[in-house]
Amino acid sequence: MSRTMVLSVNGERREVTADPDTPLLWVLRDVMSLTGTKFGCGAGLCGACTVHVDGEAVRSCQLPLADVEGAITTIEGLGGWDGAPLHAVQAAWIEEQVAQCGYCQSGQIMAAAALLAETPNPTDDDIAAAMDGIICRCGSYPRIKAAIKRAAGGVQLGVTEDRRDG
Amino acid sequence: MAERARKKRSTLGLIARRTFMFGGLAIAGGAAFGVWRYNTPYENPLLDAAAAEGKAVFNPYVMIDEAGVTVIAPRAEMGQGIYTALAALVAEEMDLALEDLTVIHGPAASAYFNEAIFEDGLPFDAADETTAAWAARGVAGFMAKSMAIQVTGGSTSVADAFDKMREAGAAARAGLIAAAAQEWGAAPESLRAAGGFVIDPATDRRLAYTEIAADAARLTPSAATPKAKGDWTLLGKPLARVDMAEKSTGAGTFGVDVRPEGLLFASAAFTPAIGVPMTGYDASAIEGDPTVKAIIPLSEGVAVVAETTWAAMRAAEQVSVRHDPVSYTKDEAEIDAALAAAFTPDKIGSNFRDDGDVDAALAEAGPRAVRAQYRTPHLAHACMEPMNATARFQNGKLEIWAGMQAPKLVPDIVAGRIGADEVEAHVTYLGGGFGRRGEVDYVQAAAEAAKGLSGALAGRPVQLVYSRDVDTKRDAYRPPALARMAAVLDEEGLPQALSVDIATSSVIKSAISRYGVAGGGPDRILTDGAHDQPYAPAHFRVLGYDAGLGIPHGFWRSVGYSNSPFFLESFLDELSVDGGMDPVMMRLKLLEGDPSAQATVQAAADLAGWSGRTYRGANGRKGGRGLAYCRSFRSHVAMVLDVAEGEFGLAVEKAWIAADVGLALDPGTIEAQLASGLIYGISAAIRQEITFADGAVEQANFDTFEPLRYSASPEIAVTILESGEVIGGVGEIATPPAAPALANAVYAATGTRIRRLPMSREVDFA
Repeated sequence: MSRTMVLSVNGERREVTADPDTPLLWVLRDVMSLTGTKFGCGAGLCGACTVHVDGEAVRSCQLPLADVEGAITTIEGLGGWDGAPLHAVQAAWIEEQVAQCGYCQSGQIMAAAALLAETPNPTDDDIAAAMDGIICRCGSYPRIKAAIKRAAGGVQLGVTEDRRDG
Repeated sequence: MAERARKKRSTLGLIARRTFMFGGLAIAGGAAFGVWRYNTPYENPLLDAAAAEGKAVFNPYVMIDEAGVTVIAPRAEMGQGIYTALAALVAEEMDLALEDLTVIHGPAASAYFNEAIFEDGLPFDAADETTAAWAARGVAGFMAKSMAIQVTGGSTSVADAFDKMREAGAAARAGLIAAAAQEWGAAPESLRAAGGFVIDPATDRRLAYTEIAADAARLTPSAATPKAKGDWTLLGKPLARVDMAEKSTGAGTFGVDVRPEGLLFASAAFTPAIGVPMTGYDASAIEGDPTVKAIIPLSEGVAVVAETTWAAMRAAEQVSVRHDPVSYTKDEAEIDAALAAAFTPDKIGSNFRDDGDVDAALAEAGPRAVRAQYRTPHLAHACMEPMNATARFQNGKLEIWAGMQAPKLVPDIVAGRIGADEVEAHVTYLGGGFGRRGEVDYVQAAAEAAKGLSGALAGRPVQLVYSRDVDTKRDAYRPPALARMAAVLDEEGLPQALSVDIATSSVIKSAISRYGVAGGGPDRILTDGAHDQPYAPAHFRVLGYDAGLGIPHGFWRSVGYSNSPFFLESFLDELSVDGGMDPVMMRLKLLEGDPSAQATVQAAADLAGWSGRTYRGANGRKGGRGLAYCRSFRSHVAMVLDVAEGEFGLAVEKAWIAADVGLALDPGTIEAQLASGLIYGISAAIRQEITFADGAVEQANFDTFEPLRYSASPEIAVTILESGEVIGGVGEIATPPAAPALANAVYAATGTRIRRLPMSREVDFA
């Protein structure tokens, strides 16, 4: 049965009415029309649905609405919308021309942003550990690597200051 | 023009016998083949809608309003960067920067027919310049236009657009200059264009394109001569993709992202394969479920409409669908048996290479002949965006929103099937295509669901999304193939005779059946990547046998080239071991008649610093390197892959790719596409396989059909060669040599010769 809950999404309080079993992914996409977060597998295998909950990368297809605790940031909240500047990771993605079909890139960018917030100067192994969960069928991996390395400097400068508490 | 068309027509009879693909599609479209049709220009699809909105329409590719210049890129953007490449063709001629234009897919329309894909569909070698091949290509263009197939596929988009869109841009520029000349009373040749203005250098006065658009559109000639290559300022350098910002901010709209007013969410349960009709169903488990808004029987399944896509998927899983026993090969044993039994003369579907006398050479060699058998599996496309479409059916009109590679053909077919009088299609970004999004099934399912809505829901748009499991189990698969190879080496160790027999299943026959057309006849796809390779041993024969497995088979990135090069390039590697000849040297010698092919192989070897099969991996691990070459889609690719043994299995550490694409319009995208094709290819070769049991696909999600992940992706170096004015394909060409290069590297590293894919059956990868 549907229930009304209050979420913090991209710095805003949002009231949503949905079945509490509904995974966060579908609340974002089908209830709130925040379609930047993508559905790929529904089983936590591909990472296309990655969002941040309190800054941590989470597979939103595996997180029921009832279990959401914390502030949610989606790709729309990361940067580039409504006059907000691009996040350093997004800027690096554009600079390195990463996206091909682009469908997985919201998940890739959210995973990379969470990694760099936690580990500003990641080693190759750190990057692999963070990015192995997000599948890209176009094979944009070489440019993902280049973009993360490019963004690493920007993150150190504090460009990724999290805006989720607004 | 009339004379040219007549000439083409006179050769129709000549090839009708040899090409059933065009004949088949002609029936599908119900198109008349009259010369009148070829000579009648298609209506400009922008005229009605755009003109009504106050836009000045120059031709089917360019329109200008107060907001600026809009370019129509009428091909599916599925990651290959086609919006950017096509927009650049126009921008170059209009002296605009890419960021000064808006690029849209535009309407699905006959005017955007793809002539090049028809030319490539002919059973002739791409480089064959004989009279017969020339004539057949002419006929193909004639037929493409007559049938007006707007298709994205076959790595043809840029080749097809190269003249058309540059001429459109040049014409628009000429119109703009003519309008300014009229305004000022100046001579057109005294004016120039730059940055969205027509400029009079004598007085430095200027007029913005947007100011004079209406007059300019009227003064625009039907075509104008494009710039010489030497005058290009945009083309030939890496371009910044026009879709990059949207795709880096979550703003890009894919099929699954459209949200028309009143949208309903749906998913579906289906019979076990595309084409298997439903005979009944049981939805009792979800009847009365308050989250379920509608249960709609479809021709091949049951759609469930619910509060969210997720709720619909969950409900659909509880619906059981009945069907008659399937008529296709229903398990792996049957598939094995059917392939093995297909090597009979009555099943030959491709016989486009028969040089010298292979039988005599093999007979003379007797036991000295080298023989090997290879096998490849079924493969799914596994696009990141599961198949989906959104449809609205109201007052006899069908409206479709979806990522589609055939946005005219497929909606037209679907409209016919559901009995719509009118159809309008909107093409979104494609979250992967790889050939999958030229199919009818997912669009038809959404349209049938829309038509089946009743009561208060009738007339509302419905978005029907396949779950990942359904997407994997309801595909049109890359067919499996079984190859029997034989060769005779000369004293030097070079193959003097080469016999290739491939049993697989016809993709064309299967695909057109889904478009509603029965067909039979030759199909060069059965042996693409073998019969058309520029190797020239004295005796060389390639035969393709159609095993007719009956399973839905479709176009999978590089299509026939995804099978045959694995056999041919692996076998050449075996022969080079047997004959003691270096594999690079062997290729160079066998390619003596084709300098571009030789140069490509040499470039890959140089890039890799090739000095043999030996390779030491990271931290000195034992490894090996493998080479493969393939010509496909008018381009040449050679690659060297380096493999090393690690703690958790083999790793592909490095890839060195050389590609001759004829003319490189956007080197940045070409590099990305070469990496992409390689990764798609090794992804399949290492671990992917679709298997059947009891008529159903056994794999479901990415745990059982696992793509390559980030850390398994090699470091990639690329060299781009440009041998001439031919516009080679780019999006598919690195997939064909990927599997054999990897297999050859695995052999060099481990001594294990991979003759059956995927490799994970025999060796462990990290």
